[in-house]
Amino acid sequence: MSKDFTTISDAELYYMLSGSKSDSKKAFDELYRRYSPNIYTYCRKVLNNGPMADDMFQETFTRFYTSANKDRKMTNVSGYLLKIARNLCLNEKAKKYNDKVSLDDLELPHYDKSYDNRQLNELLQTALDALPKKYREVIVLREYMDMSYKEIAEALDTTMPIVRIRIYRAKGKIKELLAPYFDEIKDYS
Amino acid sequence: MKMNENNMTDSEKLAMLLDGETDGIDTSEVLNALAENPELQQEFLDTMRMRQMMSGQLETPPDRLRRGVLAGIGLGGSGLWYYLQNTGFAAAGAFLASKVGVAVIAATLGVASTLFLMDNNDTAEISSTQTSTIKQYAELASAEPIEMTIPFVSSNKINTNESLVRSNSNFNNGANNIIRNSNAYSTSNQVVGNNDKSNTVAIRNSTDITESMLAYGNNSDNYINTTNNAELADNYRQLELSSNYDSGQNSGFIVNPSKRLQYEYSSDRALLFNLQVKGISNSSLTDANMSVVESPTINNIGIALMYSVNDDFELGLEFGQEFFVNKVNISTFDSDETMLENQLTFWGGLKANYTFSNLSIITEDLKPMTSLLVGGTNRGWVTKASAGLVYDVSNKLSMFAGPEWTTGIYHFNSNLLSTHKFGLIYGMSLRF
Repeated sequence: MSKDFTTISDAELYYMLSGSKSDSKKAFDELYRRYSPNIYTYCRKVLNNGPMADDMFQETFTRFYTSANKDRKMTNVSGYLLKIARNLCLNEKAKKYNDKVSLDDLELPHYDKSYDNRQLNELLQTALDALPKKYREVIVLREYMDMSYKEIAEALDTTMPIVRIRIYRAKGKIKELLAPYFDEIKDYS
Repeated sequence: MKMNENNMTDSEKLAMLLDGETDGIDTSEVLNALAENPELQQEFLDTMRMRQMMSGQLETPPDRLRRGVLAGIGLGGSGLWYYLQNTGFAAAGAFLASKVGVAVIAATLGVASTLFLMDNNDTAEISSTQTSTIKQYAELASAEPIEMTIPFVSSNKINTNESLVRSNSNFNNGANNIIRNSNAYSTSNQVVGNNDKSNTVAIRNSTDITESMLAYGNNSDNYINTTNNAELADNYRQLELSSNYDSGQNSGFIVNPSKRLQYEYSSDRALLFNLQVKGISNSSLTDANMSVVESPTINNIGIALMYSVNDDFELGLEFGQEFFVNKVNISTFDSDETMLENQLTFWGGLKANYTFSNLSIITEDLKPMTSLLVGGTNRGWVTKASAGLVYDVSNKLSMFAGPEWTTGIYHFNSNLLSTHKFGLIYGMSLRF
């Protein structure tokens, strides 16, 4: 009888990655199913560059699998995946771009009153891009990936107060940028 | 770890509450402040709007990224190979991938190709086996008949199988016996039987008979090499002796021309199946914006098992895989775009081959052919049409090549779209 991999814990699946090829494949598929949307979203939001995000996303899972053959114990798979993705994305970002765009220089596009999802996404991404990377990152982890302050602190190797302050400031900056549009989009749900 | 509540403003506390972080927060105090402070209320509304904008925004990576990762870490592969390894054929896939499997396959192919490449002509061997004898009878029976009046002089009666040996012996004892002494027959054109009835025998002429007889040994006393009565009876039955003989009447040892042996010895006729392996060297008529990252080992191939309905027409099943350019939706953060992706596609279907045997080109072994495949893919439907030349290397091996047009049909955004490829196919066919 075949195993139901959906009920196996992350740690056990991680351990199985270094086992037989058949089990390894199924374990990898299950872990991929669980965490690929989070990692993919993180890469895309942080990098805001489709092809580069795709590369970093693939590289994240490739390194993750490779690491399983070196160290068979893992207690926090999601955090570990995020850490790999974060390192890759931030390194890549540092190579390609300057760290931040001046908020004062930022000009948000003008939109008609009728907003749709796509326009809102563009608006939000523009605002995110305007944030310094340390703020952008915590917002993505908190708002898109729904991570708690504690999880974010662990993922970023920092403390909860720092996370709280960054999130608070990041939201404040985004609200400041989007304030002119809030009245127009208040009916959006 | 609790955060220090004393250093936080009401706005910060509200933000934490909205994030579900209640440790160290006096919820009632924050709610009271919210009720009294209009600025805090506005902040609350803005935060909620922003959260609405960000909610449900997790993106699902396209499957090509997963395949790319799997291929990169050696867990995937793709297409046919991937399918074999990840379905009920896992064991077969693993075996085929092993060195032992490769060695077994190579050895099998070597032996099989050696056997197939040998041209097994029906060259008569000088032998006294029953098979050879039947062949000689077939030559006899297939000759154009000349009706002759033949007197029967023997008084022996042939009624049953049990009497055949004795009867045969009687025949052999007779002069000018067709069975025993072909020379005598060729000179006299007489068959000595067991009564005076006139009968007919199918022969072309005395020379043919003589040659036929010589082929398996002239003047042999027992060229019908039987070991028992049953085998002897079987020989006679295959000779389609006249009904008079079967009924026990003294009609003699006569071949009825209308019932002469029609045994087919051409080895081609027995080769009803053939296995076709072909390579495909074609390209899409549309350029893809995106290429897949993987590069499968097994690709652009087709394997078909065909059944020969007749000499020209074959029907069978063919499977293979190649890349097709398909439209795909790519969701980027900025926009939803439609792109053209070069996707690996597994296809299969019913295939019909027609060879124009009467239209030989240069040599009789080089003939035009055409084929049509109608089937499905893992993304939709496919048709393949090709025309070309087939060259018979031997009676069991053929080579073929020619241009091929492929049309794939698939669903995209509730519409049926088509994608086209054009190129060359080439391969070989082993009949068995």
